[in-house]
Amino acid sequence: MPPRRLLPSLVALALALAALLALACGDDEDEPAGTDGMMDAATTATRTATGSPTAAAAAYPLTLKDMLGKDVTIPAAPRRIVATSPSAIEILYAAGGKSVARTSTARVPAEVASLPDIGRAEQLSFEQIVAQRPDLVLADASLQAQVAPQLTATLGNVPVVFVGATKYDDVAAALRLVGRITGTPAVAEAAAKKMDDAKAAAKQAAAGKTAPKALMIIGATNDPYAALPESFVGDLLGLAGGTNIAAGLPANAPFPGYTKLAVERAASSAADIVLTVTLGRPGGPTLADAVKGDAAYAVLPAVKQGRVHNLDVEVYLQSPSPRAADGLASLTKLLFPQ
Amino acid sequence: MAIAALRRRPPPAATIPLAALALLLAMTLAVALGSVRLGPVTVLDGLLDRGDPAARLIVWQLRLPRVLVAACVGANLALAGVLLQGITRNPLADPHVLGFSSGAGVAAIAMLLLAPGTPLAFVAPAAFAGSLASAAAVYALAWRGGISAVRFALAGVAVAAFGTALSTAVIASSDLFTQSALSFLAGGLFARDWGHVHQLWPYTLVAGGAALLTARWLNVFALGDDIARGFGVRVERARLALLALAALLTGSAVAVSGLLAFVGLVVPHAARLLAGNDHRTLLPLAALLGAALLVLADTFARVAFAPSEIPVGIVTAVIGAPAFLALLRTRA
Repeated sequence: MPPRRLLPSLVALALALAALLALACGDDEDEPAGTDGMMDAATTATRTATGSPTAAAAAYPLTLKDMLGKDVTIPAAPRRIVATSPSAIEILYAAGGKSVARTSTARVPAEVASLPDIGRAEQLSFEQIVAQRPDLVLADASLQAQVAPQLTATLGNVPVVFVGATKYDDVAAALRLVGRITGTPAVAEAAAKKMDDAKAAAKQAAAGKTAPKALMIIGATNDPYAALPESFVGDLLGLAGGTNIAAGLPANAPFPGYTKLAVERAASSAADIVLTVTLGRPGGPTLADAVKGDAAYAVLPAVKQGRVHNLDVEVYLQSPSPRAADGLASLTKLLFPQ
Repeated sequence: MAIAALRRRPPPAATIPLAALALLLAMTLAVALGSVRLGPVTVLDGLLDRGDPAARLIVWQLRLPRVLVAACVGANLALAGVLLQGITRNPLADPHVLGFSSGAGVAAIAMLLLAPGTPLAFVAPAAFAGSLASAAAVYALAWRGGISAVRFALAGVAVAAFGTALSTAVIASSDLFTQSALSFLAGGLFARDWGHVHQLWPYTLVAGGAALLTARWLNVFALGDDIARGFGVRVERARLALLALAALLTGSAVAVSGLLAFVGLVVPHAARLLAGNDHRTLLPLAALLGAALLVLADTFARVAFAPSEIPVGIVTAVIGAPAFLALLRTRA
């Protein structure tokens, strides 16, 4: 056993690791070295913080029940809110508030692009959240319920409010809740009413018409799942007046609300319309393309009549938000073309 | 085994303080680095629980507990690896390969999914029970009037596969918290806090301490069962005790970190190459190296793609697989 070969390789390994670490740290080298970049940035941000001007001053301290069913007390009007998912960010802005940070993939509204990045919503950097010195954190009830204890414990006295939507109506409820927090209930109510109106309009459009049988599949092109009525997108399908052919099947996908549908079952479903939501590279092949090119699906009336459509992945799956009102309207048009 | 080579190797006793120093350096680095850049003075202030509150929170509530969890998990898995390799006289043995981890994983996942909201303190005992059940199954399957290294390893592989399948079945049949269960399978230390530290350190202290005391047994085991009996060791009883200890170390680590591959396999070999086969040196050295390795790997997992993280299980596998191959070539 000649360690003369081992020692250099161990040293090399250590050096490689150190180099990788150095490289990784070098990524955010936009701060002047030697100074505490975070401290400067945060102080500047505090000075320029744009808390929503509370015209109709809500009564603080404000105690409310968040969407995980937890009572949260907000001592004073929040001026530095950190929203921790694309969905939470969209809801916050639509309710009249602003976030001082964004998650990596958040793109709506466009102004959040310039905010500091706190990581992906599924794996937040708690450090970055703390560094933003929030006085309120708006977390995601569906994506972040599992880390709720840690997040709440980490933030100590800072209130953490969980909002999220697994159903269409949850978006309006979240808007109204957030409007109370930000002291902009009128803005929030208007946005929530738009959601309710879109729902009523969809109901009216479908009234008296035969509900088309819809197959709704989501996922990567090589690993699709059918959406159940319990999922967000499945709920939208129901509100738009479609009959979900996967209804009643067991929720056996690795995430709630979806089922692994056997291809033969899908192919024999006589679906009038196929709607897909594709997880994958933007601009890449969609599930709709895969369905159109798959011989097994060729027998479906939907394929024969060219009624196979791919839906926006953010609106219908990744970021349940006020945009779902327009999403519902688009869905109605696809289901009832005339 | 050239004499020149022996001369170049640091004396075995010296490797322990060196490894302790390496662990200390690794922990210092881990506390200093994160997705938020903090200057050394700020970090020091944070450690002393003074100065800027945000920095204090980051250092004291986010980084330090995670570093300690990583150190304890690494030490536990490395010790379990040394014990299992010693008991089975099989260099390929480790808690992952022999199914100890997957047994612990089934129990922990079942607990997470079927009784969500269970206090943390109950997860480690459950995982220990699962790990112990795997150990018993492996032992029973391998027993034929004695234990052969090959039969033990084969039985372990079978139990590991069975346990993994069972975990997947539990996850697939439940639609609750599946994301956390899936990340559990990959192994990770995301959002581990002081609660996890408190859950884990007693196991590392007691079971790890007990493991260090078994060095003489393991040294005698290395000579074969018959010689061990000649030394007056009750072979089967000692083996069962060591297996239970390995299960305890594995179960407590898995309860906190999920299924981390390769740490229990690679670290004992690295320690053996540095300090030889005397378990009196090997056990403490492996514990220190395991802790240092996982602390470094977790730092990389936190920092490499900041502000997002990758599961540390991926890092240990990416480092572990080539390191393992390099070690095998060095030994040949």
